[in-house]
Amino acid sequence: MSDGRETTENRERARGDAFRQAPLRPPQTVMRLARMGAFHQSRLSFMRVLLRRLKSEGWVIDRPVFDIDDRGVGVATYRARGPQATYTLVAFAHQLDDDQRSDRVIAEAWDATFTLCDGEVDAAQIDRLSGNVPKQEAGRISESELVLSRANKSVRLFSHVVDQLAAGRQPDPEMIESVGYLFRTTAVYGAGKFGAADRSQWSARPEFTGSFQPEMLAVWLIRAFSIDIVEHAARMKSPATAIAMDPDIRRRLGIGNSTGLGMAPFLINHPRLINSWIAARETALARVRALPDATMPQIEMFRQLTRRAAHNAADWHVADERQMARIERLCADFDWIIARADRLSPDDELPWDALYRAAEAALSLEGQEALVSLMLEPHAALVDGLADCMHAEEDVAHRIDGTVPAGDVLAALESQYDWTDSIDYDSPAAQARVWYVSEEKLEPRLGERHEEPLEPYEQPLCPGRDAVRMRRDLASFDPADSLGAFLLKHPEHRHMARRLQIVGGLEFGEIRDNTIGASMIPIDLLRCKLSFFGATKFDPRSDRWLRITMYQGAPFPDELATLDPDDLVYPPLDEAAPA
Amino acid sequence: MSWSLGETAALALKATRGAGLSWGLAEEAAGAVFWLHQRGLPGISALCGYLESRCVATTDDDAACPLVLGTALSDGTHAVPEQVGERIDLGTVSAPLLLLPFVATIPPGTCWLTVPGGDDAATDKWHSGWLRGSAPCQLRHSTAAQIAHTRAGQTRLPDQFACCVDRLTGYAHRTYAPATSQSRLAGAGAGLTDND
Repeated sequence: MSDGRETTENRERARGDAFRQAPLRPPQTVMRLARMGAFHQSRLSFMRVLLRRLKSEGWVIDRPVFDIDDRGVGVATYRARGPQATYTLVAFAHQLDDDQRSDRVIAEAWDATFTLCDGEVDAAQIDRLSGNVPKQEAGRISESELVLSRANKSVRLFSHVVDQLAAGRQPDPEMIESVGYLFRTTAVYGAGKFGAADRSQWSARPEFTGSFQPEMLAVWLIRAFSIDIVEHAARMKSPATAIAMDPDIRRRLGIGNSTGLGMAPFLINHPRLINSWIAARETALARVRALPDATMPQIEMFRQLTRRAAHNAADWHVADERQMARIERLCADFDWIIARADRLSPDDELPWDALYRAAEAALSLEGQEALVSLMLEPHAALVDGLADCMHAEEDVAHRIDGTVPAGDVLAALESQYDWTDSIDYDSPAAQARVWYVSEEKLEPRLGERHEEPLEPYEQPLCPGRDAVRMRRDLASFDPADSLGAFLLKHPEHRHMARRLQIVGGLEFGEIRDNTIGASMIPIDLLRCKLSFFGATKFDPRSDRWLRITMYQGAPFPDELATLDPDDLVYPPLDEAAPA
Repeated sequence: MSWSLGETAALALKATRGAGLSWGLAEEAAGAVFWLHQRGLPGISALCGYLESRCVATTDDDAACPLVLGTALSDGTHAVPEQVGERIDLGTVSAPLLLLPFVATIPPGTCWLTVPGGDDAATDKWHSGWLRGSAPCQLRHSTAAQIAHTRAGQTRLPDQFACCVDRLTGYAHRTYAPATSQSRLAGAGAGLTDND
């Protein structure tokens, strides 16, 4: 029977599904920044969820408008038509001087700007959008639009591809692989931002079940635009000799993305949503671990994919020394994984559980989490339905139950935040950082508390510290009196009191680490979120921003009917180095 | 161009914090403004009026904060009328419209907020005290909800509130830290080229 708690299992029970599963990994294992910062994309990643749905529902994509001049300036539209709805990406192509090209949020001009519209668009709407979308944050969109985005070229690769195609040659696959994209987005805004439709206006639509589906659709269509614009540039350069890109080379081009601290607070500010994502992935793992045996086709698929994933890891090069060391260890972990995969047999009992248990002892966190994602691959029937549980309604003013006795609140804090016992928040290192929003950038930033006058501007992004402070004040409050009475005296704890009641029913709602400590690495927060998007090739550019690739290997709109998007995430084995 | 209610609530959160209230009360303000605009009621004007009365010396210094009083009502620490027809005085309250969302949470959902001049919110006849300044308020136990659930169908903040958006943006600005040379250097990615 459902116990009414907000768990993935209860949601699935409500839908009439029931699967056998092993115990979930405990939150004290999963919800650590070091592990979350080692997550990899999986069958449950939102890009894969989107493409599976578009394929199974037979969505048709076309390009009603392509009005781009010989300088590469103009507008194009990409229309996606499904069984019940139509969406249109409007893409504006601009000319941008190199000295204006910046991935940072303070930029004011881009190589291309985009909006995803609800339904078809006409000339009047394109005209309205042309006065706003190119301005991005300084413009306004309406409730007819769902997503606002912009992208800059990878100048080096774009020029190479134009030159090659114009001369009638295919681009160099090695160069394609080393960059991985022609354009990288520097922001993808949705859910009510800058005037766009609020999430509540479209979240009930079946095609947007899950998380970030409009944003994922926009980025996939931007990828199609990135190819069209480079082929157009080649045709303009040399109409007589220009050729189109070979589909196999083209598919190795994804869309890049630069992401900085602006995304970091998201995981802390959306505990219900994060819980739904992590619980779905952990439930998927628990189901696979509970399987009594493995079939030969499953084993063969797993062996193939481990080799392809190893190839992918071997191709993953970054300048960041910390990440490069982790990648080298991951490559060694893959040798172990491949060797274990080769020993898997249909006669083994609980083979996946045994594999995972052995990996826990043998592999790095990168290796363990890569294995978790790979173990889900041969089990679509057990895993893919969980994607429908990966959403949550968040309410900034979630109503506090003020009638709870203060003594019970203190007990709840002591048990739910027991992990803070090992952190001495009175030590300077434990509160070394402060999250704030800068006046200059209007974006979340991380500063040094003891070196800069930032504390008055602190954002509430340190639940562990705030829980400890609330415990201290509760300890000297009458335990029989109510939480409401406590909050009248201590309104400064109202945020934490609400959070406590929200995360109380969530197994994976809270990160069990100090988010303001001296040793906290902000990109761990970014990578966790981006792995759920389905990003690959994480490329830290500092401890606080990184580049990633999205949709690398995925089918293009004209290939969706004939290719399996789930099979294309890892490079094909015939290109892979021998294992 | 109109605003989404999501961004309106996000602005209300930052503005309330910028005006000096705790983050938890700022969240209540965001929720209240969202609730009111869903029902076509000018929550952003009321919040604007309240924050101005807080931040600028006025003659209403003794008026209660609608957010503190509202949370006391929704938290169950303030007396509420329990029998039909019973009334309870709340005293003088700033921008009383902001109290409405909290009053609506009082079980069983049929409590009414009234000010001299009538039950304005139910009939859309605005008394200036609902939005700016202050008014003596009462709670009255009734037999039906003051604001019917069916009213909660608005999805946008109309253009007419652009002035309130500007004012709240000013308060929100107070939550932003001025840049220092150190914070510029530590910024996300300074000094790296993006022309690659």
